[in-house]
Amino acid sequence: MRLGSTRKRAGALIVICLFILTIFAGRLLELQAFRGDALAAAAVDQRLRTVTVLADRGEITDRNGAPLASTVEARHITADQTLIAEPYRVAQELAPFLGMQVSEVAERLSGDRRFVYVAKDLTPETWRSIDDLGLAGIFSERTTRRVYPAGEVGANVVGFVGAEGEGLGGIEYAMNAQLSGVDGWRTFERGFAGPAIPTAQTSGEEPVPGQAITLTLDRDIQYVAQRTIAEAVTAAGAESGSVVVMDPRTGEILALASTPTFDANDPAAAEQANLGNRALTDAFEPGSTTKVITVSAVLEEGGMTPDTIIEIPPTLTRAGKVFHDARAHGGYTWDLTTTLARSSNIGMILAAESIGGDAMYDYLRRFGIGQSTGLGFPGETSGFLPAPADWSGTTFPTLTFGQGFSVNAVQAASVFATIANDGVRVPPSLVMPAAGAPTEPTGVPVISANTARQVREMLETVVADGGTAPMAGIPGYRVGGKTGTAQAIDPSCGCYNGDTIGSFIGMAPIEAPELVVAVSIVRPSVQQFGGELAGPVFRDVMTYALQARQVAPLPGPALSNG
Amino acid sequence: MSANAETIVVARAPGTTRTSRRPSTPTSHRRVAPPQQRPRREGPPTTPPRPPRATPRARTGVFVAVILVILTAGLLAMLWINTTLAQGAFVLSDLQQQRATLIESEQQLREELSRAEAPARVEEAARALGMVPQDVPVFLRLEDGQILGNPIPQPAPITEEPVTEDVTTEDVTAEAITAEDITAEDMVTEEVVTEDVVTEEVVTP
Repeated sequence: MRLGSTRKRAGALIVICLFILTIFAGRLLELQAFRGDALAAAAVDQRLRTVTVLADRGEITDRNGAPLASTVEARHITADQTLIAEPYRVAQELAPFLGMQVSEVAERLSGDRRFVYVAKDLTPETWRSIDDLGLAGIFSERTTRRVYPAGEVGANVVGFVGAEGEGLGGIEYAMNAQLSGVDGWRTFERGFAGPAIPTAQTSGEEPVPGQAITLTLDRDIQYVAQRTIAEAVTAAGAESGSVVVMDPRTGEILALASTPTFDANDPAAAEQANLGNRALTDAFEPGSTTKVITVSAVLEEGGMTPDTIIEIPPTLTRAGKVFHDARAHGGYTWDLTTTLARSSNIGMILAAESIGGDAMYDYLRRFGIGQSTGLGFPGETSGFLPAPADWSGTTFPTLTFGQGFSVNAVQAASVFATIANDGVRVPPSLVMPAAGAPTEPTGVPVISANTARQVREMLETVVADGGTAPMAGIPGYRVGGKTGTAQAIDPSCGCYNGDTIGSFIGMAPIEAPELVVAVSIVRPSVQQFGGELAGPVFRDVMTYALQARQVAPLPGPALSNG
Repeated sequence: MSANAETIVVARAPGTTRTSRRPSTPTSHRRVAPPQQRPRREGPPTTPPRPPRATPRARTGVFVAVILVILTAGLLAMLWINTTLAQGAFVLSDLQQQRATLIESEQQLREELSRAEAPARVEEAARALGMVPQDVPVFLRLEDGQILGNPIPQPAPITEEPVTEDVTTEDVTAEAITAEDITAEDMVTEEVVTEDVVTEEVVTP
């Protein structure tokens, strides 16, 4: 093989090399210069993952930090049906973990869809067990789940969330903006099914968790209130009931029970009507409990004293309408205290006439009737109070014993809280102010401390043996309150049809009240007065609340057993 | 490292004197200069006892060797760093996963605990122990040992009144928890309850 000189060979080699290098250069130029950016972007794209980092929704706790609503991690189980060859066999393995029927699971796994949900909101632990089975085509999706550890307790206050975790009821709805955080995101490059590539750029934004909210509720008092009212409503065959427990000195609502209730973990299973909070959303005519406003106004304006004697006729005619008392009676000669204790409508009309309608209206307004409670609860009603311009001849006498206007249960409780707090009205509250927030200005004086004390002592006689609610007494404490048996308006006809609302609102200890409890039982099927229906509920809830709040009875056994 | 040390030694050898090195910048390219300049500047007086190394050819060989060593060392270092980083990434990923798992189980345990602490559960457990609500509040003041209220013994518990309603509530809320968990939880709850209630008994006999 003689191929000329070394030089020739070298020349040929160089030509070949140059040729090959030219091809390389051309390709390089194409890859780097012409398609360079696009290719680089595609490559990064292939490795780049952007994941959403979920922000935790704020926790809702009671005043002592017991959780009422919290957020935990959860997994949705998803499937790629095209990867599942034997749906039935896979379903058999899967079903026990999901708590579902094998056939049901199999159905969801059969088909040719690339993405279906098999089950939602499982615990991460369950997912790990499923993952360990190594089933092809079964995946999970990270999510969060709202849990209500106490279930029904406080459900009507706390509310509930929808499928996407957004607040749909109660505080969850009213304070959704504060509770929901802002989801973050993270972008990173990662190798095939592997961890993040360490030297590559990562970017992202940390999620901002939602704000935690502390309610004024006490979970234990709330529970006892709910249980007690539920039992009473069932026993009376009533339609619904509510209990409000308030600290009159701060306006803080310690319990706000509404029955029938629902399990906040499963709001879909509940009746729509039970999802709200009746103590706030339902307005009713308060009836005789209003008489404390009448008596307060009369005492404060100097129209009468607790000892003023009233001649009470069997019936009383005003503007052509004949007014009766709850029980027919002959003529009575009672002082104002007895009139209140025995809850005479006629006596109240006569007492209120000593100060006149305008003063009466003024006091109703100042006690918060017809005005929003300021709680901002969804669906809350402000009640209704007719303005004096719209009054007919019978409006004023009707108002004095609690008909012809409406309130919600919290408004009614707030009236008694004002009297309990020496005549100073502190607006009710459900949410503890955030730390560092400016403290609200204290209450507005409505009546003098002296009048408030007089009214309280009159209320004590209601619970005494001669009053309308001796069953509301608690041994060892001075308890006062007022019964009410109001006629309920039938919404279908706007008329009275014999349905009633039995209520009892009271406070303890009378000398310096620390608790106000308001009970109402709507449309009982048994014919009973408010004191008989609601009194025992008041006693049970108050007894527990006194112990929970560590309000000691007066020292020594001498004063016990009232 | 050893490679680097060697580099320095060899690099200094041709120079010996510091003057020759001073003007040159530390880049590898300029290092080539001293061996060439040296003879010219210092003239005929040859370097003392190393004639073989002094030839340009040998020096080029040495230089190439040095470059190769540097390159190899650099490459190895790069490889080592990258491997370490990748290893770190795997460890990080593992630990993150472990952290996530631990956070999840902490959450789950917390949830179970708060369910177990729910008032309905506690009441159920207390009633199971034969306890009843205190109808007549009585307090024992610890400072002076005074009894506030009238300590009337609570009537015996009415056993025919189980809290059926609460039991159903529990069943509904606890459905996600497995049977094993419930029993374990129950035992814990009961123990906690016993303690709690005993304290309360002292305070309110």
